[in-house]
Amino acid sequence: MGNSVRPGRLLRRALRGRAGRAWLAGSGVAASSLLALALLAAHRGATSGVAGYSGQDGFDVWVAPRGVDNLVRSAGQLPVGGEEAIRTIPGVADVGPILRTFAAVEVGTDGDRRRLTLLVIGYRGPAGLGGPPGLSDGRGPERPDEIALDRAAAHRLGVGPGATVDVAGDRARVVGLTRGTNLFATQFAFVDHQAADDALGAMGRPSFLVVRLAPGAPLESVKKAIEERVPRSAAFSRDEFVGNNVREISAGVLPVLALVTGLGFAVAVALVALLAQGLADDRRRDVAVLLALGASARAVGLGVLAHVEKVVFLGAAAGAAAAWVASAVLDRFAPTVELSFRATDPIVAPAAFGAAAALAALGPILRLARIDPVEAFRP
Amino acid sequence: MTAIQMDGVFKVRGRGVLAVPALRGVSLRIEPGELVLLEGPSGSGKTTLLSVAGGLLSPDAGEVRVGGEPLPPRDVEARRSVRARQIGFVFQRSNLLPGLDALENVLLQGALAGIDAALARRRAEELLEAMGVGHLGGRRVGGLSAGEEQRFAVARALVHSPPVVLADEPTASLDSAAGRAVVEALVALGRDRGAAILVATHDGRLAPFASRRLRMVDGGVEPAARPQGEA
Repeated sequence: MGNSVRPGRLLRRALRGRAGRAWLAGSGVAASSLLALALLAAHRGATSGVAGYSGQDGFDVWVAPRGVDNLVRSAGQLPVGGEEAIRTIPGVADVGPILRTFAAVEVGTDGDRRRLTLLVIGYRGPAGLGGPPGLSDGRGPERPDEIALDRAAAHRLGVGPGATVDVAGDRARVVGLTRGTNLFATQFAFVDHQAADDALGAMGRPSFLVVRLAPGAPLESVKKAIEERVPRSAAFSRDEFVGNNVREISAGVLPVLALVTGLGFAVAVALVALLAQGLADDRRRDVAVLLALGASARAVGLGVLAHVEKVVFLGAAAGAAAAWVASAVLDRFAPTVELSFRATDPIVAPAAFGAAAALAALGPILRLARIDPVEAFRP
Repeated sequence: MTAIQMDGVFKVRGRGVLAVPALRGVSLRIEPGELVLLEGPSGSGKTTLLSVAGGLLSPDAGEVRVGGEPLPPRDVEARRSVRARQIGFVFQRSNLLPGLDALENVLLQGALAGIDAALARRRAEELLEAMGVGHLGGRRVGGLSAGEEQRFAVARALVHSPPVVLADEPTASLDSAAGRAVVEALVALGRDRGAAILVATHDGRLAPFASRRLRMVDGGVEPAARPQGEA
């Protein structure tokens, strides 16, 4: 029988439903796939933003006021003199103070005023620890009246390098655009440490201290020494601090993203179930004929499943491709949301939707297999 | 070897108060090359008899053999296998599958019967040429006339050279000329291949072609009048 026609191929073709219905279902799956992937990518973008900043090379230890373990949702300041105390600890190569606050950044006139509340980081530029992880244009702040804005924030404000903005009431010139600093709900801005200290009235008390260790320095013993020498402080390794920040970002946006992603997925599953149901209804007589002619119920079920999976796979793959393209276009022309895709997304999405499709199609397929072949005799 | 053998077949259709005895101890034998007409009013059990003979329904009692093979009442897969290899069906409507072109509809039966692909194609082309529709194989089903469709259905029923062909009102949806062409094709090509053909019909035009005529009355089978013109 090696040369016999495989009934599977002909069966699958015989069981194809209406082309319009398949296109509709495939489009729905593509839209759901696009939605789910875009939301996942937005979540990843937000977490990678905070992780990208707090996990930079050279940020080996983060020192925070006791009770504070993250950059995103925190308050409090370290005591004056902590920086000097840490510098004396063996194994410490460098220390940089960071002042962190939320501040309104405004631009324009009264009639056309744009305003964003940004997570403002004051650090000692240009060589000090605490600066942005990357620049897409310009440079970091070097003077008290300079500011570097996340590029998404700059896009929303409609400004670029050379523009002047108001930061908490003070004028500042935009000297650079940063990337990898978009947290989805807010964005980073970077200013000179002294300017931030003056504006906040911090009197030399930093929000955090970032410590760079000398090669081979013992991390745990340095952390312990820091907590002993800086009163009411807590020291975190880079990984710990990044993890804490990702947790905080996720706690804020993940439930919403998960809900919308879940809804998108549910819509796709419903569409697939409808597609399979439609096949079961439209093809009832054809299935009866196939069973009468000697096709097995299993082969018919697999034929329907293959058709459903093909539609779903192509739809999900199209959605993944569209998400990829949308990401590139957004990044180029409207970088308001950081979409972080992974190379595995175009594989994972169709696989996930395909698995859901198999479950959704199960009921209609079982109904198909129970069709009485005697129906083929009905006129 | 007897092509169709039914011994003491009983079959009840429906359940509970709706249960109706459709076949009451039917016994019949049809030999290779015979064309047997099964006549009777609507609801007399003709389709049920075809369904039982074709392994689509299992009898409540009695035994059915097709091409010498038993149709085990409780073994769905065994009946399916016998159906695919040993039986060709011609329905009242062509029942060609719209997802396939006309020739593929014929080849599908060959594939289901497990015969060699090249052999199936050669047989299909011979059958279709003999019926004058060989040039229409690539057409979609919707692009054929009812008569042309039914000739493809006849080819589908014969492509795997089954010992038995079961036909249910094969000319009912056709005009006079198309119906005659289909019957002539079924008779000539089926008999050429030694198939036993059982046709349930109301169509008196088929009588001249029949070897025997049976009449179904109240779930039983009895001989009908001899075909016209036969001594």
